[in-house]
Amino acid sequence: MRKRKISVWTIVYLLLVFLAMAVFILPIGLAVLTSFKSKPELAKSVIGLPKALYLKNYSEAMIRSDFVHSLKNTALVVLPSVVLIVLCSSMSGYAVARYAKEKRAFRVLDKLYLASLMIPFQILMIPVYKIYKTLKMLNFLPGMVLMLVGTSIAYASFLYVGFVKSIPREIEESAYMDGCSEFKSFWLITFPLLKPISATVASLHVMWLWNDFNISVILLQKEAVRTITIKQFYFFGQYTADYGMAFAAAILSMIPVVLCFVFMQKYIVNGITVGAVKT
Amino acid sequence: MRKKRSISKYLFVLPGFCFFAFAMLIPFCMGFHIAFTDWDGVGIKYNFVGLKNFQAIFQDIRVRGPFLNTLKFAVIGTILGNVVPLALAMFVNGKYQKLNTVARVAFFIPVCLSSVLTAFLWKFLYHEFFPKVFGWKNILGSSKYVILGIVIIGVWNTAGTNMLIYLSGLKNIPAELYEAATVDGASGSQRFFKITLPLLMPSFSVCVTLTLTSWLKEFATTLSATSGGPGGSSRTVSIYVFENLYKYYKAGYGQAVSLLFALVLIVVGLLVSSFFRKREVEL
Amino acid sequence: MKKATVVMMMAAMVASMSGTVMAAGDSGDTITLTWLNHYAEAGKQAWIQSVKEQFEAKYDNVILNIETVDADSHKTILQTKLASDDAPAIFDLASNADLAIYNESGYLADLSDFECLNNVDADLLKEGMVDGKQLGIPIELSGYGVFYNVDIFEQYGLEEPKTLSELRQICDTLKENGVTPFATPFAEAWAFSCYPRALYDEVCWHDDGDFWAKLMDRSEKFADSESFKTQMETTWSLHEYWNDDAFGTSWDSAQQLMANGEAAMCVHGSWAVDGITSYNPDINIGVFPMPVSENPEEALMIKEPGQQLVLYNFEDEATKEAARNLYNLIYSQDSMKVYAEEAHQMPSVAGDYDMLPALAEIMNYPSEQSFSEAGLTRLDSEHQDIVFETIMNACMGDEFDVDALLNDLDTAFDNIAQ
Repeated sequence: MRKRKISVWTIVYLLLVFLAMAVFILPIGLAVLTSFKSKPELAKSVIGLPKALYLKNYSEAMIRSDFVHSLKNTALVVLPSVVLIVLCSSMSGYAVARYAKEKRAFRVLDKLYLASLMIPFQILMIPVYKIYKTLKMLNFLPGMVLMLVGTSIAYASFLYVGFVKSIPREIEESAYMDGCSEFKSFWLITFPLLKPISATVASLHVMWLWNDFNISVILLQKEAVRTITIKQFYFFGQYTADYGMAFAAAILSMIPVVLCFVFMQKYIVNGITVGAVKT
Repeated sequence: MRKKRSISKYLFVLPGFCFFAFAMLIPFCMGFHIAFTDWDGVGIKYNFVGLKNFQAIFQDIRVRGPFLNTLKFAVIGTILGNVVPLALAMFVNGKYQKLNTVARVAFFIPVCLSSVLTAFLWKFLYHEFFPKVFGWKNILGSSKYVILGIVIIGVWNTAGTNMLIYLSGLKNIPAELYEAATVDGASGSQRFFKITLPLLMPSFSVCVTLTLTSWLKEFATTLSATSGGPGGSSRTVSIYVFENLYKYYKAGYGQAVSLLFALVLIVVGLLVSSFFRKREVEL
Repeated sequence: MKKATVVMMMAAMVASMSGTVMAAGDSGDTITLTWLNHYAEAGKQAWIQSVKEQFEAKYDNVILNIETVDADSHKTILQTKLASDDAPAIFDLASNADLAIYNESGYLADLSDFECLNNVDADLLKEGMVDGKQLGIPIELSGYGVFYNVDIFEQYGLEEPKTLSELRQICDTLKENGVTPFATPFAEAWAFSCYPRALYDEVCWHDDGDFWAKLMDRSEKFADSESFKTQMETTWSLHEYWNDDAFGTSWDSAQQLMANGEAAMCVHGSWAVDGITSYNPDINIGVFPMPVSENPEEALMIKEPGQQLVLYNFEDEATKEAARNLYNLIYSQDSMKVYAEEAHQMPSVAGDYDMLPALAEIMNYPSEQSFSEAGLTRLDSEHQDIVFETIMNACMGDEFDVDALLNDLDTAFDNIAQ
C-alpha cells in the first residue's frame, strides 16, 4: 500500500522531528541524570555519569515531602476538580457557541470569561483567604476543589467554544425533531462528539492543577493537607538550591502526571472520529 | 414551549458561572476598592485617596521599564509560542503512526512541569550545562537577551498545550479537501496556505488570544528564573505589582497598577479574539 | 460514560471529605501557638522540631503548631493572614523598618521584660527596638566579608590583606597562576548586593548613622557623597578579578567554583561557608574583612542581625505567658546549640558550639575590628532594589560612568519621594 521509496522530504521531516524531540526531552534527561548524583559529584562534572546510582536524593526527597500522603492529597483535589471542570465548561462552552448570536447575555458572559483571564491572581489572594476563613474552609480539601474549578472555568469554556462550532448544528436539530430536550440532546449527542477536546481539557487541567501553587499555598497551610507541589517547593528556594534532590522530588511528582497523559492521549487522537461524523 | 427552552439555555452556563463567581468575581469585587486607598498591605487602617494612585502611575518612571519589558515578552512570546507548537502539531500529524505517538508524548512531557520547576531546570541548563559543555555565556545574565532566554523557557514548557489544540484543529480538517486539492495539482505550500491555515482559524483564535494574554501576565517563570533581573531588565508589570503588594508596603498603589493594566489587557484580549473569531469558518 | 464520570466524581468527593482534617479551635484550657516560619532547610527543620518536642513535653497545656512555608511565599502568606485576622502567634520579620510598620498597627508585643533577653548578644538587640520597645529578637547573625580557600592562599604564600593595594597584589598573583581571584555570583541581585555592600556599608555609615535615611528623605544627594562615590569606583576597579560572565553566574555556580578551587575568594555572607563546604567537604575556608581603603583600620568584619522573631500582641495573659516560656526555650543555650550545629548558622546567643571554623571566627571577631549594623537606619526594600539594580546596570557594561550612576540613583530616589 505505502510507497517504499523514501523521498528527500521524508528524510528532512524525520531529521526535524528527531531534532525537536531531542530539544524537548534532553533537559528532562539531564534532570534525571542529575537526580542520581551527590552534591560533590555534581560540582565535579555536569554531564559525567554518576559512579554509582546515588539513591539518597530519592529516599530523602520522599521522606521530606511525605510523598505518599501528599500525593494522596493532590489526587483528592485534582480528580474531582477536573471532572467538574469538564462537565461545567463543556456545557457553558456549548451554550456560548450556540446561543451567542441570538442572546446578548451569552456574549457578555463570553467576554466576562475572557476578561477574567487577564486578572493577575495576586490581587485576589487576600479576599479569597478572607472568604475561606469566614466559611471555615481553610485547610479543607473540598474547599480547595471549589477554588480550582472556579479559576479554571473561564479558560476551559474558552477552549470548548471554538470546537463546539465545528460540530454541525443539524445533528442536534434532528434530535429536537425527535422530541429530545436540549439537555438530553447535549449529553447524548453533542458531548460524546466533544470527546477529543474534553480529553484535551482534562489532560491540560490535570497538569495545571497538579502543579498549582498559588492557591494551595494560601488555602492549605496545615501539613496534613499539603499537596505534593507545595511540599516539593521546599527544595527550590531562592537560597537553597540542591539540584540533585530538587530534581529527584520533581521527577517523583511528575510520574503520575506523565502516565495520565499517556493514557489520555488515545482519546485525543481518536478525535478523527469527529471528522467522520461530519461528512 | 419556547419559553421553557429559553430558560434551559441559561441552565447550561449556571453551574460553571457559580464556581466562577465564587472564585473570581466576588473576590475581585471585594478587593476592588483597595486601588483607591493608601493601604500598606499590613495595617488595619487605610484612607481613601480617590484617584491619586492612578495619577501616580503616570508620573512613576519605575513602571515604564516593566511596561516595555512586558510588551517585548508579549510580542516574542506570542510569535514563538504559536509558530513552534504549530510546527510540532504538523510533525506529529505525519504518516508514521508509531513516530507520531512517541513524538507527541515527547513534546507534551514538559507541560507536566510547573513553571517554577521549569525555570529551575532551565536555570540549571543556562547556568551550569551550556557554559560548561558548550562554553556558551549565560543568556539570563545579559540585559539584552534575557527576555528571549525566558521566552525559550516558557515556550519549551507550554508548547505541548498549544500543540494539542492545533493538533485537534488539524484532525478536524476533512481529508477530502486535501485529496481534492492534490487532484487539482496544488503544491504543498499552496495546500498549507489555502486549506490548512484558514481552517485552523478556531485554533488560532484560542491559541493566539491565550498565549498573548498569558505572556502579558508573565509572572512565575520570570520571577523564578531571574527575579526580574539582571538590573530589572526582565521585570514585568505583574512582578512590579507583586512587589508593591508584598514587598514595598504599597498595596493600594500596586492594586491600582494591576487594575489599570488588567483594563488594557482586557481591551487587547477582546480585540484579538474578535479579530480571529470573525475569521472562523463555521461548518 | 456520563454515569461513570458522575460516579467517579462522587467517589472522589466523598473520599476527599473523609480524608480532611478541619481546623480545630481552642478546646478547654489548651493554648495553641502557631509559629509561621520559612525554615525549610533540613537542619533548621530539625532544630524547630526539637524546640517543639521539648516545649510540648515541658508544658502539656500548650500546643506548638508549626507552619513551614517556602521562603519566597513567606511574606505573602504572612500579610494574607494578618489581613484576614488570622495572625500567627510567632513569626519573623527581616529588619527594623519592617518592625516599625507592623508596630504601627499594634500587631507586635513588647518583649522588653522577657528573661531570655539576657542571653542574647546585647549589640544585636538594638535592631529589634522600636520606640524604646523590644519588638523582635534576632535568632542569628550574619557576617559579611571575604571568604577564601586557605589551601590556595598557602600554596602561593599569600596572607590575609588589610588594604586595597594588598588585596590587588593577591589578585594579581592568583591571576598569574591561573586562579580566578573572585567568584562573583552576580546573576542574582541578592548575591550581587553582598559585594558593593561590603565595600560601602561601613564607610558610608561611619560618619553618619542616618546616611541612608537622609538619602531617602532627599535631604542629601548621592552626587554629594564623596565616600559613596569613591567606594563605587572601587567596586568597579576590581572587575578585572571577577570570574568570566560574572552576571551570568549563579550563587550555585560560584559555590562550585570555590569548591573546585577554580576561584580563590568570594565576597559574600556567612552562609557561604556551609554552602561551599556542602559541595566539597574537604575544603578549608577562611574569612577576612573586606579591605575598603588604604587604611588597615577601616577593614572591619560586618555583622548583621538576622531574622527577628516577633510575637503577636495577644490580649490574653495566659497566651502571652506561654509565649514567654517558648521564647525562653528558643533562646536557651541548649536550643541554640542545636541551631548552630544542625543548621550551621551563627546563633545570636553565645556559647560553646561545635561550628565550622570560619563561622566560629566571625562570631568571636574582636569587637573593635567588627562593624555591627544593628540599630542603623537602612534603606527600605524599594530603595534597596533601586540601589542594587542601578549599581548592577552600571557595572554590566564595558565602561563605568560613576557620575551617571550617582545621577541615576538621585533621579530614582526623587521619583519615589514625590
